[in-house]
Amino acid sequence: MNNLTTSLLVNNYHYDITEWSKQGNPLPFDSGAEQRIVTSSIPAIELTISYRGLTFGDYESIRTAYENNNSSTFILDLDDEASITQYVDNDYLENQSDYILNQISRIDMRPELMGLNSAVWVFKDFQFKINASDMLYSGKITLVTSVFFNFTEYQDLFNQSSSYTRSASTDDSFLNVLTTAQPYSADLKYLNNAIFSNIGQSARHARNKGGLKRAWTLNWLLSESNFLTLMTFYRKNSGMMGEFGMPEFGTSVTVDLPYMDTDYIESQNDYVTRASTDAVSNARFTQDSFQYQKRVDGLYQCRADILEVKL
Amino acid sequence: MKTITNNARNDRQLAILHLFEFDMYNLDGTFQETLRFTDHDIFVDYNSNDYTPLAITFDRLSEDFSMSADTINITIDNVNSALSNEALTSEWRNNRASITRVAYTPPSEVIADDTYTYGIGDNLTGNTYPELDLDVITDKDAWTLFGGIIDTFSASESVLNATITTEFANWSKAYPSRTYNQNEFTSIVDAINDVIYWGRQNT
Repeated sequence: MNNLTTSLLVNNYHYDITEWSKQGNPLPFDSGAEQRIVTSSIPAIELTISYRGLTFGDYESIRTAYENNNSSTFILDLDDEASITQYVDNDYLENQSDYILNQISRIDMRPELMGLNSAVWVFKDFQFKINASDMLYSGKITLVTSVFFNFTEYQDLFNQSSSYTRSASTDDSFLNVLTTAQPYSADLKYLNNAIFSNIGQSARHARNKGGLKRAWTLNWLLSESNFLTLMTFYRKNSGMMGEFGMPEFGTSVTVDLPYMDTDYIESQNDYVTRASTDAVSNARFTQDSFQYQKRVDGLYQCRADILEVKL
Repeated sequence: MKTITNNARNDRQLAILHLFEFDMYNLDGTFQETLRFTDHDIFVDYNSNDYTPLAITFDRLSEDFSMSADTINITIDNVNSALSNEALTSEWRNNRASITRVAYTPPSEVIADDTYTYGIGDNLTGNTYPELDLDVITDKDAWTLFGGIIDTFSASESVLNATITTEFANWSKAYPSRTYNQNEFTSIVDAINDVIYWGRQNT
């Protein structure tokens, strides 16, 4: 079982937590008194960790942690009191240097109560976005507590592991389109078909079925001629027949500067570029996901969902 | 015995968990092992046996006075396929199954100078892994909720379903067909009654 405490807790700035207390029902007696019945002993937590202002390297480290543990439990120690520094120098969040370190004890007390490495979680969701406004990555991951612990007695009974293998492509047709029709933002997500079991609100066991897929949503603001290039490609490649190479949008700001001079998307010159070293996955358009509208300024605003296809 | 004694009843906080036992036999009929599971969220130690936490649910139990066997369906987590592998390499059917209900008062716990009246992590044993030690809890009642044999089971990718039935079901078993060559007996009834006489072994 991997320990992702460092990978996941660096650069985050916000926790959103839902907590379930011990589960149970009241049992009324003839006297009118109620007896509370408890069936689970450990409170369950759903934890959403948010990130903003990440460079590609920072994002990639979180992404790698997710891909290598997408359908298995891992250790995340929120009770680590070793580091108590907090990099907030203003009253507001302004950049990636404002983040919460893993000093917030008392949220997950399992290491204290049950022993080291009993703070065990599973991934529920992973959603990031790269935007032309700052060429930085922002997003969030959602975790759920697990009762499948990192102890030999548990591990011996049931094994679990997970991994991700990219479905590589050498097709560059869509890359050429993206050179002309450049999106201003890209959502970076995953489709996971693993199966999980649960006890109460906690995950019990995860089984990786090997089907983790990357998913993208691209947003464009395009001139008519560039839009027509994109639309022509979509009409040729939508549906079952069209598989093409899709870049991962690992963007290096130092290589490709964005054409962005204000805080908002205003013209087709505001776009997210992709690095020439981007890994390319075999992908296709999600069915009927291409949507577009024509604006009064003559520009076309459009979006499409794209999903990795396993070969 | 299904009465909750004052051990647990005096307190207004009561915890309930279930212990499941299934005897497994090798396909050649020799005893293999007893599988022990619990629907609690950590291991449970009871009578010095370890019960493994698994997602298990079972139907509501019902009883009546009719001369029929009560059966219940239980659903066991099979997400990692460990149980279906076990079920296919050994014999579940016609072997002992039991469900025990334990009602107990969770003991209080002091964590960082704060007293949690009914505990948080429950009563851990001295083991290096999380385990509820029922043996040392005095405020508890345990009674057999169901005792019987496993009748049928089926497995899917995510769950394993089993029907367990009371031992009374043994009475309704069909006679073995064609145990002997019919020609050696005057009638087939003689052949059957030679082995089984009114539901018991004819000795």
